[in-house]
Amino acid sequence: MKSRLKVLRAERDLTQEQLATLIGVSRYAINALETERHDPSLDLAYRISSALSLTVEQVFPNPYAP
Amino acid sequence: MFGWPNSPRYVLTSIVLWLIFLAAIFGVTWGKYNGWPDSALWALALVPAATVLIQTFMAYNLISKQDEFVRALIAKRMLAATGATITVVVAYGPFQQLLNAPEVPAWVVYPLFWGLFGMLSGVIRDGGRA
Repeated sequence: MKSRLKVLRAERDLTQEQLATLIGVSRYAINALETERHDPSLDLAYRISSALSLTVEQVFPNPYAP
Repeated sequence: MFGWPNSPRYVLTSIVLWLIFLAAIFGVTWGKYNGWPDSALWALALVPAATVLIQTFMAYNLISKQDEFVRALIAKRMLAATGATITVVVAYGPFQQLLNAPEVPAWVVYPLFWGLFGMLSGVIRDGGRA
């Protein structure tokens, strides 16, 4: 799944490790999301978007949007 | 190893269990050829299976505590390793049974599984994807 996570994280000067700690997942998970090797569950998508003070779709653009 | 949870306690316990596993295999072999009593051999012969059971329980517990990506990744690797192990064993079966290939002890399946798991871990690096 496409995500803007890497850009949004960099804009906030956060490392993968810091973001991972912030939302309670491993750095592997952040890395996998940024490199599109993992599609997040709804729960994880909400946690990430909340941590970045954005909506889910601002972080993970809806691929099914008309 | 990429994607494997960082848990020194798990690693240490795993090493100890592997040492016990191998020691028990060698112990039974050595004991059999050195006249140990049957009861001791029987008890020792159960030790490898006990270490596998403990290791399985530990791995299950460790994986249960991980995030969704690590869980998905390890589940995929485990499934692939299980399939590869069964494939190797089934492939070897007819050769051993009917074509005079050397007999291989069943406990070899365990190190074979983890060996294949390690190899496949280098290839399987993505978690759950739609």
